[in-house]
Amino acid sequence: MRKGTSILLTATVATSLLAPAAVTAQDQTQLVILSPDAVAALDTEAPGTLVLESMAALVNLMEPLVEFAPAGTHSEGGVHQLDFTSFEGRLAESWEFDPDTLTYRFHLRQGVIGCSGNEFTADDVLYTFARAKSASGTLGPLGWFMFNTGGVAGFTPDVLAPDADRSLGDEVTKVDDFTVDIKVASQRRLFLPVLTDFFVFIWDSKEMQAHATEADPWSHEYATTTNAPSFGPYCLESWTKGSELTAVANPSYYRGPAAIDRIVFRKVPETANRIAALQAGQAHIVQNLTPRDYEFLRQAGNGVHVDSIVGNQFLFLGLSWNVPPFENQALRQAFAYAIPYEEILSTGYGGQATKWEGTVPSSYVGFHRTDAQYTTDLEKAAHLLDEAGFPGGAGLDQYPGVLRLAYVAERESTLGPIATLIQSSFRQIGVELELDPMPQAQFADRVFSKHDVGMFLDDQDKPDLPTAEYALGPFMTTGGPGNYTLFSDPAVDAYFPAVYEETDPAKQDQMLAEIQEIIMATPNWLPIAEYATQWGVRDGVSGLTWHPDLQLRWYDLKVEP
Amino acid sequence: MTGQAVPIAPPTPGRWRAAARARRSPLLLLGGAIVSVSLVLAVVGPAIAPYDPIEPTGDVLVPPPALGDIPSLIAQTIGGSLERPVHWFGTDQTGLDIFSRVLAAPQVDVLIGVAATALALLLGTTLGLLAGYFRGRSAGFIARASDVFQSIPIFVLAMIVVVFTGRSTMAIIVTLAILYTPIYLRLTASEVAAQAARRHVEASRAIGNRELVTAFRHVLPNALTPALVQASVTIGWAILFTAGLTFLGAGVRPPTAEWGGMIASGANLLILGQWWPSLFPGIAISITVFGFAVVGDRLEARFRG
Repeated sequence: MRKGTSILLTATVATSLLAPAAVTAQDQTQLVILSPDAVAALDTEAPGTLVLESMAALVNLMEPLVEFAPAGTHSEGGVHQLDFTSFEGRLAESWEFDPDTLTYRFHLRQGVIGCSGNEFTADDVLYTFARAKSASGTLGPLGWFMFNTGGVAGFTPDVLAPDADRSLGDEVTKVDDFTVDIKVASQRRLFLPVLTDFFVFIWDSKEMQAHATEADPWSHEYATTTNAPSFGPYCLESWTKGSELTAVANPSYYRGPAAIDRIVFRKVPETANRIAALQAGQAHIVQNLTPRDYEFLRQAGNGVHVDSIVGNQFLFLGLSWNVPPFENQALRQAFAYAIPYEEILSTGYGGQATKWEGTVPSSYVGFHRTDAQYTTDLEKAAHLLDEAGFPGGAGLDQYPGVLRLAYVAERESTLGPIATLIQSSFRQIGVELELDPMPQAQFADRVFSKHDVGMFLDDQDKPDLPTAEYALGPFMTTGGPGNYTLFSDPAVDAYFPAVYEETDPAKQDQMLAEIQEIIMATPNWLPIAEYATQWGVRDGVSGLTWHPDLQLRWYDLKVEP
Repeated sequence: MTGQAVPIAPPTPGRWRAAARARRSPLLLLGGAIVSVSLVLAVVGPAIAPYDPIEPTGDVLVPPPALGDIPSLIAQTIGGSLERPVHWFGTDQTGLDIFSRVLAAPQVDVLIGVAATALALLLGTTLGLLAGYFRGRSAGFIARASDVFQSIPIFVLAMIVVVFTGRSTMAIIVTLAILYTPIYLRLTASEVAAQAARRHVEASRAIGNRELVTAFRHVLPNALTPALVQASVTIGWAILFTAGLTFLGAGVRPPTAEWGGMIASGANLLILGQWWPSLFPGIAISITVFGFAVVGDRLEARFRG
């Protein structure tokens, strides 16, 4: 009864907010998705692309050369899975690799018409590679980074030098209008996964060039603020900045028009309003709720269910390598044994998580469950603390401000209780932590750029490419672009780049397993939990497929009449 | 001398007069009681709480006991037959006991309110005395500076200051003190200006007292009343403000027991039907602010005559 009253009140508010675009029983081919933020940019090289909602738009408006093949299975929570070792053509119909010349030849699909009416050709592929190599965006050269990771020839770090020639050379060449050759510096397992990443989805070069200017030859302004012209399943219909984006099915899409004619992707910041709208039938899918909210939806029913999958979202406690006393291995291990894992899984995630037993998401190719495992063992933690030179926590007070556990304040409803549980557990071994929630922007600046935060809880990081070498290389090697704990271990560094280039999968996985053992024994990231990625979904909506970028492909969705 | 003796009422001691006034003003009595309780809790709250206010109990989101069960639970609590204390107000999503946290929160909220107000009072009255008594160029500067401070939205200013100085009790006290100082400055300056023209002030000068001595010894004591009356109201504002800052994530650090933070963390649970984590701290803060406001209001009414 009490629940009913509060829901009714909130539903009334939400209904009034959402009424103009209500989904009616007659309008079966419109689907409304609610998210806490709005699409910020449609350029893959603009900072706004890092907003999850921007990614959602990009993966549906644009199209890749290749994609992971469906695994034919689904999670216990009803989400379709992909096979990360198998690929199927999208804009590329087929491809072959010549090991002698280290060249991939892609045969492109013919008769593909984009949202602007232009036909897809090899020129669009060359334009996409050239734009990535130009490193001309304001975000950072993520297109370049992806091709560099995939081992594409010519995408080397020296290209980024101030006076370097960044024009596309013979690494990507047009054989004819529908055939492209791509040379690689070395054969890497990562090459094809890289092509599935939205940072290198294919641009409609004619439309982009039509909006180029002398000052902006790569049309960043146009893509950031107006459209992402490509050959994807949906075309942009309208985009109200800060509020809503609507997309209509591309009638010429080469796989056939999408089942749902129109997608309304709307910002509704308040969790309560998203829940109420879903329950009231004003929306079909809501995302970015807390685990407790999803549990509520699960139990409430009301024509709503929750689809979930433990994919690549995880929680870890980061310890900065450059901040004393965290260079002390025994101290780090003591902390690892003091974390209340089970309480976090049950209290923090309501059971919708599993203990993370490695340093790579368990769904990724090359994941290895390490021999070294940490469970809550306060006695052992106390012993290690003693061994570290801080018996009962004594002596840690000589590092003022270091024992502050930072986390993103906007994630307080999920991370706050978890941080409190950790604080309470650490107190039992004599370590007095101070909790330090900080705004997202400040957290990103201090943790990812300045590296001046000693301890932090992070549950928003994920390697986009589902292979262990990608999850380890950029994040765990000295100077790696994602290595924001500044971890440095010569034994780990020694495996790179050999592990990228190993062509025998068994040997490669063996090397990756050895790296994961080293890191787990060290450890700089204290792995805590792999938690479920979840969506609240109206009954009758199906087809949710999990991709490592966490974004739904609207083309896969179906709505029962 | 045979005349009938006229009974003469004994002189009423000051405290009896105060009690008599309070009896005539039930609101003042109520406000005074609330203020007294909150001040007592600010000192002993955490000590009398049944659970450690920042230690998870293991019971997550337990609702408060049903109304019908309360009498027997009280009896069992008094009789000592319960293994663990009752979660009278339930528990939150971390398993923290809300009743214990509501009791402990005045140690932060009321302390900040009282300390910030005291500091603002000290600064404001001193600057107000200088601005109102001397009326020179520096006085004008003080008044204009005060105008500038008052023109800035105080929540925005407070958040900026707290972001730069860090989330600590001291930072919030100093921020609030700076924000409230202009109120006391203006009140004191106008009262001092009125007092400065009085004869006793002239007399002080005439007998050769220095200006500063005159200002502090003969003007300030007579100009303090409006500021002192305002103090009670300001404490209420400060408590509300502290809660607001924490609600917005710029106040004290979690899991410190603080009403605003408790309301914030419980607000998201309302949609799930879990009303208790935010309701009880909400009631507590309302009652406390009401108490301080009533005391200030009644005192002001008495002062205005």
